[in-house]
Amino acid sequence: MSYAMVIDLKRCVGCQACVTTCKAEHGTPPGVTRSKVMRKEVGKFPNVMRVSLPMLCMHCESPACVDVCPSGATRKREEDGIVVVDKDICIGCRACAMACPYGARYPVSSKEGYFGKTLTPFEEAKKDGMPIGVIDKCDFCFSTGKLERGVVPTCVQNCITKARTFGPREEMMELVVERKGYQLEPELGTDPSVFYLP
Amino acid sequence: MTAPAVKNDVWIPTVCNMCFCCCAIRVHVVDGVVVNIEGNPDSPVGEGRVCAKGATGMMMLYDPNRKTKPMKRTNPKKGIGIDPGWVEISWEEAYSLAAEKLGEAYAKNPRSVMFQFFITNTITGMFGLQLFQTVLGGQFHYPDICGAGIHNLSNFFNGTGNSCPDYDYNKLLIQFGMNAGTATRHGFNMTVRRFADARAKGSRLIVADPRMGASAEKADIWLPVRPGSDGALAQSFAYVLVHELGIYDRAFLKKYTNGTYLVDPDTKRFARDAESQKPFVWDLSDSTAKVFDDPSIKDVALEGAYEVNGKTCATGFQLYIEGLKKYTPEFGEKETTIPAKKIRAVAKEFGETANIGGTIVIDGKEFPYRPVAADCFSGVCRHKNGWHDMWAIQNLNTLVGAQNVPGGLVGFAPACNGFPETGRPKFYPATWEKEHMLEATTMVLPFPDSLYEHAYTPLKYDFNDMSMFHIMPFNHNDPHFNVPCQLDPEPLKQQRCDVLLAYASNPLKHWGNNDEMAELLLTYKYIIMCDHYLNDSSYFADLYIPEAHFLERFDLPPNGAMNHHTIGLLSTPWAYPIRQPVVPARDDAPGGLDIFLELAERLGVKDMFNEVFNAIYGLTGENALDPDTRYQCTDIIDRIYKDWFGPKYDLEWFKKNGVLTWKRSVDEVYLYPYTDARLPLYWDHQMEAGKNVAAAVEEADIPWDISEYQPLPDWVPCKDHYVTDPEYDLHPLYYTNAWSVDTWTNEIPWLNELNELDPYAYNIEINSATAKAKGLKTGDRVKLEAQNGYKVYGNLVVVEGIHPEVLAVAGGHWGTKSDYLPIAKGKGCPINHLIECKGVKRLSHLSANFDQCVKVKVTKA
Amino acid sequence: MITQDMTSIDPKSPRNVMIKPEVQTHWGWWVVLYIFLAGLGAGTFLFSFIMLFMDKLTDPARIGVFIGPILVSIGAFMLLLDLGSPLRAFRLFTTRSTWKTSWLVRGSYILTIFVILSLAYGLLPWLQASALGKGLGLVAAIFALLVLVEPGLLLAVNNSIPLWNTSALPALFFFSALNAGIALFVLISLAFPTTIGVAEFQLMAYINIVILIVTLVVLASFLEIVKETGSTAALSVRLLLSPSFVRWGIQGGMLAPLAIFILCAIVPDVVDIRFFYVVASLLILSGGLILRAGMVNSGLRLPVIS
Repeated sequence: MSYAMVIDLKRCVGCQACVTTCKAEHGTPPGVTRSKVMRKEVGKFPNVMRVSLPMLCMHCESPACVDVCPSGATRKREEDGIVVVDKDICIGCRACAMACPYGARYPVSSKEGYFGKTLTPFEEAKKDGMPIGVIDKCDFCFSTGKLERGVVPTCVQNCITKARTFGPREEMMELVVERKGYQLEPELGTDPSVFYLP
Repeated sequence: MTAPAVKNDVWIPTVCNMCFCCCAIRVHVVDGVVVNIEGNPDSPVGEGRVCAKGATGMMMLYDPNRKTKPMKRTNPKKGIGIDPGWVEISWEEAYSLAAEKLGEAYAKNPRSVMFQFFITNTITGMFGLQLFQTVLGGQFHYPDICGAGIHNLSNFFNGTGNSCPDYDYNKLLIQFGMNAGTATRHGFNMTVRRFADARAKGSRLIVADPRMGASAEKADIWLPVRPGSDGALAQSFAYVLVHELGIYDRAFLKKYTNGTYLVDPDTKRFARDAESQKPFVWDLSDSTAKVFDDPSIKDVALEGAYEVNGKTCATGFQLYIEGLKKYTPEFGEKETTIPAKKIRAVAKEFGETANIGGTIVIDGKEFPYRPVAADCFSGVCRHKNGWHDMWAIQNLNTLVGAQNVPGGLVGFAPACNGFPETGRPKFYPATWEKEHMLEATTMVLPFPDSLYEHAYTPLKYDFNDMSMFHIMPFNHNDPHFNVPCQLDPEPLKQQRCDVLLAYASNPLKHWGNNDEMAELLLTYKYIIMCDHYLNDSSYFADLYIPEAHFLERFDLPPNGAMNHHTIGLLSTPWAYPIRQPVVPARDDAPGGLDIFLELAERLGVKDMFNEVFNAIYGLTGENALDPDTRYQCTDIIDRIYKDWFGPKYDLEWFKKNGVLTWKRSVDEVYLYPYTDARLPLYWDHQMEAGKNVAAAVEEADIPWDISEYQPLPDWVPCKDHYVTDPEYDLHPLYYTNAWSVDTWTNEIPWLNELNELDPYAYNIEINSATAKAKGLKTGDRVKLEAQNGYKVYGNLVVVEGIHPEVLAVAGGHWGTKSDYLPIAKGKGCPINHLIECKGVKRLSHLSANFDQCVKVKVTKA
Repeated sequence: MITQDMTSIDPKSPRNVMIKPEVQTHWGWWVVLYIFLAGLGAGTFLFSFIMLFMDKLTDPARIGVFIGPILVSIGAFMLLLDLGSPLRAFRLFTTRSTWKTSWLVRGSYILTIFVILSLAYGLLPWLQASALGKGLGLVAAIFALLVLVEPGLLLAVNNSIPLWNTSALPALFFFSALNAGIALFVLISLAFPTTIGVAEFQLMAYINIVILIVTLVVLASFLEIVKETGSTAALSVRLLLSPSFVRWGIQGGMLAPLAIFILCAIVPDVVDIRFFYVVASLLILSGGLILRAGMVNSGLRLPVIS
């Protein structure tokens, strides 16, 4: 079984709540945005369209990051398809960050927090999950035990437009087929588990 | 062997304060440290979700730049960048200093004290600071640029001070200059889900906005209007509906508006029965003029003119549609730049989707069903003509009967039957019987408030009240005339205030030109600031009193009947939550209310304070506050809840359970057909108000413009539309994104990071064709200069999603110069710096709208 | 006139939206130095070994086979410094099965084996003449070939970066590295004025000319091939061919030394000719470094939505 996520762009308003709520859940350091929203526009005025595209790790079925990982820290879990990084093993070579076509991986390299050298109590509390010198990435909130507790990832739980649906990939595919959803960069052969509905 | 350390791991329910919306949150606290903030699923206010700002609460809580000890200045020299020489003082010294300064001024002249708060903590602002002002008798300032006029218009149309489309049943929404439910507005977090549901169900969205903001991004049709032309667009839509398509809800207009009342052609006032003073209508069945509530009326005339007492009196509706005649789609095209063809198409879609005559059964009750709405808010408010513009927009709803019925525009919470166990709080909009008009319960706490009575109350000019409320009968929210009067009291023969008590407020940044606002702050002899940070305005403060962060304090009850923060709608149960501390306050700083209670005690007005509390919360019996007892915030919350919901629901119950909810019923949401009180179409009462204002200002010999007191809406261009120098060819404007408000959020590093990653927020958007014509490109450092000589600088980003005559930056207190806000300092382009604050030419004299429309020339810096 | 209707735009989805390609930021100077030094070292060793094998220019070649692995080791050390957690570098060798897909692991083995073999060969000159020595050298040389190719493959596997994602890149790095190795060999040769005379220098000039021309051809075809693969790739090429890169990487790093070597080949007995060899060799070395820096720093990532 693999988990998958479907993001309905008809609902999404690009509000960035998925970005900060992810930070609140995981305490990612400056520059690390496991969850982010890309913005772009297409067309010429006045026939123009602006697009907000929420991004996260695509938890690909054929992940480019796993192949290039030298230490075996990055792997795709067989039981649920989540691509995880074992931060006790990762050597910080960033080959995975190079290989990931979706920019979903972030090296944690600085000891500084958001307010400089002195970490806030919040950052101190989250520090253990954010060791320096290794890669950080979205793990569908596996590391904070949400899935174990039967809760969906924070960005799904908290999406204020309810644009995100999360569940076993087979179930999600029904929605994807019905709404003519798509993956990002399918031609790279990564077969992402995050789908977008137009 | 040692046992594993047991962690103290709790989730505490409370209420967010990262903006004023007051969404329900639950905070994860482990061993006394806040480690996460989530939405509280027990409350409909957010339904278990928080917005981008809400999730960052702990970043402000733990911000080392937050100042949590009282301080006083030692350097008498005031100015931006001049070190005030802050020294920490004891709470005792802080309180006695504040009490001394306030007491001195109070003894001299109570009106010499100015109380000011900003929107972020409206609870303590309104029920702490403003009560304090009430009992002390000082003046009061509240720089609500974004809501000017709209709340009182909502009072006239929807029975309460805030309205929203009935997203649950709406099929077509036209938004004018707003990102409601996509990036902003009261109850944003709740609205956004309903609005998304509506889109997912296929509801159509049409957005008139000069910039493609969060709403236009989701829209089916974007109408990139010229700034300040929304009123013209709305009138053109009405023209098409009335004069080209003949689509309007005759039954609704006859029954639920005063459009049938006959108007005397000479006075432009209603033709009235001499004895009863009731307006006449025309009964077509027997061709007779009758008073509007004559039970013998069979077929009332909506259109036409009829002979009454020797005069040909047209109906109000007839005059309305005649007034529309100049607003042809071609006129609309000229003023708004939207093609006439498009105006016709949108109006047609609006009229056809309105489903006139259709009904719907909800919870076993049949209602008229009008699934369309025209909505507006902050954008249109920012124009001097805002009152008329928003009025014209509201009339679109009235025209098709989409007011206070399913699918149309409804009040946030106009009525409440009370908590089932106690029947409290209970309220319903009254009817102004003289003309059978719908009145309102006010937007904050549900008090009956009759704007019609205000219109009919004779006025007297007050030479010691800069708010001008005394000559603005339809404005009691927006004391915006304080700004020009404090800067220069002469023209309106006012007197300046000497002492300012500013709560959660950054006066320097939230109005117009920052230098003029600095000048304004220098006019005060003593400034007390109660805040979390030392901001730009703190460079002018004498005394700084820190308030505990919202995760460290109690506040008076948010949400609930305080409908300013939470949308109504049938799908939203009533919710009464608690804001409570989840961690001890840093340096034991108290909450705002406790600070004001202490000052009240020291100033000897505790008794009055307590009495006012009893009055506004309606506290009775043993829950009433004893005038002579010094209470804490917690005592008061305890009493309010026990009084309203019974002894079981005391403070402890709320601390544990977080929120009390019960289901909302149809009669609390849709006023029609539960009442037959009418909506104003012809504003006879506004003529009466204008008459009273004219008399008062004439007597006082004050220059005062009463041209806005008209019976029907009219569109006039903004002041700067008349700028003819071709060099000044662009309108800069600001819009709201979903993660920035005011000063505090700029200091939140996560939100700052979002703005830095966002291609637009900190940059100035310019249309690609305009940029090309001017030889400008993305990344260029540019100077924007207004004709008044004011300049700002910023970095360009060339885009397509913006009107060619427009430049745009995100809204927020950008460009802060405070060294005490290191993360926010210097970020973004503060375009409100381009607008002059002196003089009253930019202010509506009816509703205090501040016209922020300027024109600039843009050059490479 | 202004008009707008979303329905008139491609109704399918925002799939035609371009998000700007951005330069990769994960690999920087440490990796550039690694690619350069590993290539340089392997190139030096390979050329030196060939010379020893052919019994030509043996004095500098003996130094070359020794310097080569040292340079490769320094390069590997650069890569170590680049790691976020260098103390965990041992995992490159202790993890089972990642060698099947990871060029970093393969590279670690290749570099290690190469360094051990080539150092053994280089440090034990008495061995070089023996059959065992020759066999050892031959295996080391084969590993040197792999070292020359490996950095290119490390980059080329990233299909999110079209500039690199081509088999022409390892080829380009191979010849360019060989080129640098030979240039270093020329410089080493200057230390042996007695045994390396005009004729020997002329020979080296010829070899340099050939390799430079091949490298230029490979570079040109590389650029042509990459350019055709898409807009991001084309943009990368434009980014790569910055004026300073063209001046110092191509003109200074390849064309100028080519001209000098041609001159040296035509008129081998000019006074102070060695000065020209020094200049040309240094230019080749700096050109090689610039080529790699340019290549790493112009690695534009594919836009997320294309």
